[in-house]
Amino acid sequence: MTNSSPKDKPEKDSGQCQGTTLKGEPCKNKALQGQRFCKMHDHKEDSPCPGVVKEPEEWSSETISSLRDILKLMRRRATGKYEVDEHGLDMDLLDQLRPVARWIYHKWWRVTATGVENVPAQGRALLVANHSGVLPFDGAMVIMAIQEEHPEPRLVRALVLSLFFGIPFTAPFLSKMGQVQANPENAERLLKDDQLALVFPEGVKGIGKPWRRRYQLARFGRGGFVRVAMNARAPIIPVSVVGAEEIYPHIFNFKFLASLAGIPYFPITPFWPWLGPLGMVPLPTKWYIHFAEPIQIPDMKYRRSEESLLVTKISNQVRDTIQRCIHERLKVRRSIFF
Amino acid sequence: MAAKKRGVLVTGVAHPWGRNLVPLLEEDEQFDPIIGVDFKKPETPFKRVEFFQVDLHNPLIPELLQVANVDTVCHLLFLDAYASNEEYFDQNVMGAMDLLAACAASDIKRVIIKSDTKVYGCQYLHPNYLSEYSEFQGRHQHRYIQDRVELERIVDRFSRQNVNPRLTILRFANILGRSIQTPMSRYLDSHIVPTVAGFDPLFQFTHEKDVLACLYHTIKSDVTGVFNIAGEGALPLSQVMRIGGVTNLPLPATLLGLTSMLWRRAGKKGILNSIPIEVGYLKHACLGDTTRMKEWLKFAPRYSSKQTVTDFFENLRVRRYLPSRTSIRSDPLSSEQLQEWIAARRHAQDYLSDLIETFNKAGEHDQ
Repeated sequence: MTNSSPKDKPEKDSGQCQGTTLKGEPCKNKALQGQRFCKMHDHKEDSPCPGVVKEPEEWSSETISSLRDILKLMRRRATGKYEVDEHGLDMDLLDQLRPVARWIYHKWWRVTATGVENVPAQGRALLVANHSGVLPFDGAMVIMAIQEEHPEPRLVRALVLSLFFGIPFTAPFLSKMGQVQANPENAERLLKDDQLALVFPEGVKGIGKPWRRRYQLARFGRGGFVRVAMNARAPIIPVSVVGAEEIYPHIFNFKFLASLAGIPYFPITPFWPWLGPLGMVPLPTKWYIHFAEPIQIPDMKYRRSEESLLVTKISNQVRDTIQRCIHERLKVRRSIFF
Repeated sequence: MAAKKRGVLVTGVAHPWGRNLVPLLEEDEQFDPIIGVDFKKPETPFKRVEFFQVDLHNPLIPELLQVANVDTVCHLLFLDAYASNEEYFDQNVMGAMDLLAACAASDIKRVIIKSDTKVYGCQYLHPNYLSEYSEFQGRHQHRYIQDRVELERIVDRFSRQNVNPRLTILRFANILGRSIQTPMSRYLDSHIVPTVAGFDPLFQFTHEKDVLACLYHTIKSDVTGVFNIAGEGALPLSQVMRIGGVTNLPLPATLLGLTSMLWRRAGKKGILNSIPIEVGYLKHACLGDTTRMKEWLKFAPRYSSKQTVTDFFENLRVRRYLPSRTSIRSDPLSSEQLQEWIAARRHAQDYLSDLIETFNKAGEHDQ
């Protein structure tokens, strides 16, 4: 490593990059303004002081170790020596996609999560959230909120509409990311395994609702989620998501096309399908996720006759809590973008 | 205290499952009359089994069950067919029906039937882990699974009409092992394996040794009911391929289904035909919930799903380097006879030398 002071590097020097590519040939890229290397070969961040540039022949130990990690990962993937949990979660793959999810969480939607302390650090809990946005990004962001903000990050297993598990390429991707098909049996199995499960009781009715009905909660299914929590003896944590409704302004539902394609709704937004794939880019709205206080479910072992009544009661209680949290947030929200 | 003697009748003793289970039962003193039934002659003789070469339709079987001191029947005879085969159906389904009827007519206490988790069918609407009470769904074109489902239906109907022999059904997940041929082992035993593009279902596996251990465990215990048997955990198909170093060939599901159907019509045993039963099973998972196995049957498989797959591929790799020695095999029975004969000869020689010695001594005394 040569310690060249900034003065040794005249401005006019910038032209060809002086770095060496992996093959050992000189780099053909143009150097950055006022520097000897291009973006690829610029090690400015690694240098102890600004202006000091490392020699390209000498790789820093971090570069080597990260390369080694990549090789190790490739080897592990190729020989199948990785662990997959019983629902198909592939932690190895998930870690690779984490930077993308973090960028979306912090930079694109700038999520503010509150009340994460209501989510237990250990043991089971059923997170119940409102569903919105045309594509289920809200599930991913609730998962990221626990991953990023919780003092003891845990992986939330979202229960995804079973429809998605019949679609090629989507189905294996979802299960590798730790999502599970929405099903009372699956939810109960996850909870009994002391995991965090996330459900959207509104289902399609919530996610595919039009723009004019935004932030109005749809029917909460048939209260199946309460039964699941009751059977698994898990507390219910109501989660309210604000901001996801506006990512795709769902103006019109083209029902004819939807029934042709065999999907529950075909959204028409100001951008989709007019702009093609560009219309699928969600709007960078500002998101707020609030985790409310857990609702404990009493033991109904000896009061079977009251169970049905309690299911409706708790279902309504959860729905009201989420609706109230949404309204409280909407009261103080000045704009959808900040 | 010596345990109560129990009589066992095992069907299909000339076929791999029965043939491998019988030595375990023979070792156990508790099982006294062990009766083996099959329609073909076994390749190697048995130690203690009384073997009868009859098929399951034989009218003498009910009489045999009444006379012999048998309380448990273990039905393992199941022929695994590619194409539609009336003869196989006759054995697999009708034979089982006759056997059950014979059991009902005599005082058999328990009937153990080996089945497959694939009878649940594969649908994406299914929960990930199916309980034993799930319905049999899915369209089945493959003979193997058709016969299995048919057999299960008959058993179900029988169990509703009869109380007398209590039924234990063991539904095993995909079985892999070094000596057993199953649809799954045929599927994976190739360098290029067809898969369905865009799908990567989870698979459970059971090791061949665990299957035998489970059958033995069930015969010995008194548990009745339906159980899913599978190794711990589940693997995506892609990971199975990677562990085995097998190249997968992703094809659209329709193309794969069509090709395998045509292949089957033509009666060819190609790679496409040995898809584990049907294309659907390569799209969606069909996993059994093994909670009942752990809690009620109290059986713990020694091999997890991953260990089973690893072991299977290790054997596949080493198989190429092993000398084939199927034709020359020594008979365990005759070696035992030989041992006895040698021992008797030794004994006789010792006795003789003893006699000679005493005679010599006596002679000395005489002089």
